[in-house]
Amino acid sequence: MIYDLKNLRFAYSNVKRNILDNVSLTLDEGEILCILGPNGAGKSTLLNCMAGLLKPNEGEIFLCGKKMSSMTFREIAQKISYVQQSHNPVFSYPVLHYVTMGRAPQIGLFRKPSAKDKQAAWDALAILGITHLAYKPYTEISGGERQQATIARAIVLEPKAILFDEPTAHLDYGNQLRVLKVIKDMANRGFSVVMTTHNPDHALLLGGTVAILNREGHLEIGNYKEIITEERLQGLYNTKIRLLTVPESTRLTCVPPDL
Amino acid sequence: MCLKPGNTAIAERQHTRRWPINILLFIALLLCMVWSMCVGKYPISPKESLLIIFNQVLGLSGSYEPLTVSVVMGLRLPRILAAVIIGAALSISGATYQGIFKNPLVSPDFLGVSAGACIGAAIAILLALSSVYIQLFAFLGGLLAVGITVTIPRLIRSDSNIILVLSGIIVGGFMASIFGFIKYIADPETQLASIVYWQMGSLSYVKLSSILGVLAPIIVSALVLLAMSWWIDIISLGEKEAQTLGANVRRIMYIAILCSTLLTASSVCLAGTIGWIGLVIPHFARMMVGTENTKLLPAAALVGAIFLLMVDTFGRTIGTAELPLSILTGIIGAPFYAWLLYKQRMKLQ
Repeated sequence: MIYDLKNLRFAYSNVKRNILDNVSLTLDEGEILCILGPNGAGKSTLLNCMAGLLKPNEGEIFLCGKKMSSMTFREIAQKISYVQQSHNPVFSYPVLHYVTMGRAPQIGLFRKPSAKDKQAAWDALAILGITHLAYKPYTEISGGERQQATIARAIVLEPKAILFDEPTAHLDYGNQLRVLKVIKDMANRGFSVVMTTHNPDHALLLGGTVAILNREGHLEIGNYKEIITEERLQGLYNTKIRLLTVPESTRLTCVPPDL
Repeated sequence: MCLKPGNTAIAERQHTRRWPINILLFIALLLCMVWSMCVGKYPISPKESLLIIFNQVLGLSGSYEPLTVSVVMGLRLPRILAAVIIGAALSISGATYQGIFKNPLVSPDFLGVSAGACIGAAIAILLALSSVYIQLFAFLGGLLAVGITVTIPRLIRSDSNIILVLSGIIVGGFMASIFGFIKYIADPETQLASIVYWQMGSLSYVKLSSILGVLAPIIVSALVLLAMSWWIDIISLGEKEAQTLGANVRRIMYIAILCSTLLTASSVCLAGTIGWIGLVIPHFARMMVGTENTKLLPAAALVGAIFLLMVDTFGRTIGTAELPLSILTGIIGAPFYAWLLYKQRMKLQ
């Protein structure tokens, strides 16, 4: 078991309500977990807790059987990678350099990446099929390519799990699907994946486990077939969403109501 | 989907071809040093000046005119060494500040470090303390200034580049007033002149002994920063991202701030405040070798050393009276920075 979250409660110091209330979940090796929830429900907060950036007020997170509260950033970073929402870095490093940074948890403070670290970065670029971007400045590639480069950085240390915070945000439809495909590939390679998304179709496409976080901070978790129901989606997004099977396909698809 | 090893090798070679730039820069620096040694009101041939230095360093007695020896050893050599050391120190310091504050707009001047160091030195002079204390006070003054500058954006919970720059302006302005007050109460007969000298920035009165005094802190700080230059890249991604990459952000920031402030303060101790170098040179070096701090820091040090040496040599040879350094660095630095802004189309947030 990679993750074991036990009865987490989290509240920001300046807000009264609980963002997370008695949240428990587990994550196995190679498992995909999609977290759905309305805007402001606290999906990112949950991921930040799982990445060790935020400390829960109550409860405990176990990462590979170890209490996370007793681990340093470095120890955590050797086990998991966190792909945060994309942003524009001030200095545009070449993609290869950017990907090599993923090796940082294994590199000492007064050291530089070795040839082995560089090779690992090349291998990660090759896995994502973006070796041609190696020397392009990170800020001058497209949003989809940037997300791929970030995923390459996330796998370069071969972590146990990768956390994605809205990996499809700011991407066009084609790039969204390509990134989802990459995420599914990563799960097939044995990485556990946790991702947040605004789109229930993404959860249906990826299959696996789905968790729904509501505004009260409660989490419902289970197999996607049990969790994603018309009733839940309608309640979650406050809209008359239908779940239908298109004749040409075997899987369920969300169909929004007419406007 | 495996990468052919051949491709990697070719790509790596193309990539590492950038390295010789530093060797070229180093040769250029040596040539500049020889040039600066020879020109001036008392021209000396390159051969003669080099022979004198060799003889003096090895303790041999050559048959040279005492005047030539004293010009080389007493005037030009200390001045050249000081220009090289200060140019390199300020450039490394500026590049580090820009990296760790992920802000290409900051520099030792804009963060108030130079002004703070200047005040520290002035207070030590006012108290008639020895040169070791002048150095210590300059360092503490610089640290205090950068501390305040960094705290203001934190207090208002802002991560914006502009707010940090504004905060630097606030601190700089405040420091200027304190400095004015120090000048006001200083003894015009004995202290005022040396305090003003610190403010103006000049290499005219640098002695070999004072260079030796700041050499150790400068070399140690520069080596520490060069050794951790790869981690400066990681810090420049932002605090959260750096933490998820396993960085101990606070520790790296503290070490980097301490070392760059020590570099700036040591430069101030040697020659007073010299503007623009810490801001402009890192940008110029970035255009030559790229943004990675592992390459940028050595390149910036070399470019900064060449720049300050050339500016100082021009300043002392261009006319009958010496042109103050700050005039020349400003005249070159300010338009150059404007051009860089235009060229890089820097996105300001």
